[in-house]
Formats: sequence, structure tokens, C-alpha cells
Amino acid sequence: MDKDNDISKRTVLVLLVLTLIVSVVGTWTILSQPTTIYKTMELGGPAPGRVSLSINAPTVPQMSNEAGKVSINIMK
Amino acid sequence: MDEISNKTLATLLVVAIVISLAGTFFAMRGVSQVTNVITGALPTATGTTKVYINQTVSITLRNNNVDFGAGYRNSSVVADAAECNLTSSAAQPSCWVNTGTYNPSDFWLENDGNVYANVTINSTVAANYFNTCGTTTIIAGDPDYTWAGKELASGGCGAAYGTLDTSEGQFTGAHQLLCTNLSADDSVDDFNVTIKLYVPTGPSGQCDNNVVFTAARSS
Repeated sequence: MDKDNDISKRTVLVLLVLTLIVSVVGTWTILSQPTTIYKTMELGGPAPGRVSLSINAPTVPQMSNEAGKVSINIMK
Repeated sequence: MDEISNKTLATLLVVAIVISLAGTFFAMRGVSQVTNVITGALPTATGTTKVYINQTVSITLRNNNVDFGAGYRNSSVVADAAECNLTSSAAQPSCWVNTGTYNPSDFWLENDGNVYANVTINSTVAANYFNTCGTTTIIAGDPDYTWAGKELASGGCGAAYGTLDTSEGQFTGAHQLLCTNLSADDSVDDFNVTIKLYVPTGPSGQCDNNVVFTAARSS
């Protein structure tokens, strides 16, 4: 191989450093994504909920009757 | 073996950079899709709970029979002109001779509805209970037929949970207010009613009378 046509070691070093930077930045970006999901959930708008209570009063006065018995047998 | 050239190394490094960037891109796109699924569900979630409660007035007589049994006045203890008093919540008096087991018990009334109730008491025979006997003739003594509310240990219709008429009152043939604001709370929703018979000289045979309790929702 003709060494005169080869690129310099400095160029290779720069590319190596660039490779490391890209790798590190990419890894950091991916690892930071779950945190983004978590924050998204925290900052999401409040989910609306509704509780309804209906107490139905009778339209006419309601009555309840119970009957008991009082008994005695007088022998004489 | 010849050493690889710097150009070859540089080419491999460029390939490594491209692979790293492409991997990062695809990984980010995948995570982004997951993010969209989660965040898309949050703001529109809606929950509805509906509860319908129907107001119900209902009372139950847990003990619906006050039975004084069979017996007669003890003439050696009580004078003809006096009455022998029998009370449903009391022990057998000496003026009464029972031919069987003497074990009358009070009426026991419970509010098993879900609203406060006013309870009245009524009887068709008014004060003269002995008009229901086989022989109704009164020879001597003053017959009487009375009721009185009696608070249980739970306190139902007591001082803290309503107003109970605990005074002795005659049956009049009309509804009389017995308990005001009887609670529907299971722990304080019941009370007793004591029945008292003043047995004169004369009446005999089987005597029966119905006592009617009526509840209405208190305001």
C-alpha cells in the first residue's frame, strides 16, 4: 500500500473521538427517554371523574304497619 | 500480513458512526411510539359512579307476642276490689297464680328501613282489654291496659337518638306517638314496649288483643 496516499493518524484520531462522542450521546439520549415518559405522565392533565348520588324520596308519605298480640288466659 | 492502512481505519470508523447514529435514531423512534401510547390515554380518561338510594320506611316487631300465659288471681293475696297488675317486663307477681310457665316479654320493635321514623301505637279495645275475654263481666276492681316505651341498652330512641315516651299511658283506641325520630342505624334502631294489664275480679277465658305500630318518615 502506498503510504503517501494514506490519511494521517490525526484524522483517524478525530474520527475515533467523533465515534466515541456519537456513541456516548446516543446512549445518553436513549437512556433519558424513560424519564421523559415518566414526566409526561406526571404533567398530564387531570383525568375527570364524576360521582353522582341520587336519593329518591317517596312521592307519597310512606307508612309501615306492624301488629303484635297481647294475650292472657284467665282460668277463673 | 500487511498492516491495515489509516484510510481503512477511517472507513471503519465512519461506518461505526453511521451505525451508531442509525441505531440511536431507530431506538428513539421506538421509545417515542411507546410515549405516545401512554400519554394519549391520560387526559381523556373519564370515570362515572352513580348511586341511587330509595328511601324506605319499614319497621319490624322482633317480638310480636306478649303472652301472659294462663292463670288466675290469687285471692289469698289480693282483695276482690283490687287489681292484680301484670307487667310484661317484670317477674310474676304474688297476686297471680300461673298454671304454666310465666314468661311474658315486651314488644321489641326495630326500624329496618333507611330513614328516621316516627312510631305510633294503637289498640282497638282502648283501656278495657278484658272486653276481649270469654267472660267480660267485671265484678270488682278497675281494669286497665297500658303501654310504656322502654329504652334498650343500645339507646335506640333514647336521649341521644330520638325521643321515646317511657311514661305509662292507656290505650285510647287512637294512634299515640311512641317514638320520635327512631334511627335507622343498626346499632341504635330498636326499643321495647312494656305492656301492663290490671286484672280485675270477674273476667275469664282467653283474652287477645292486637296492638298496631305504625311508622312514618320523620321530616
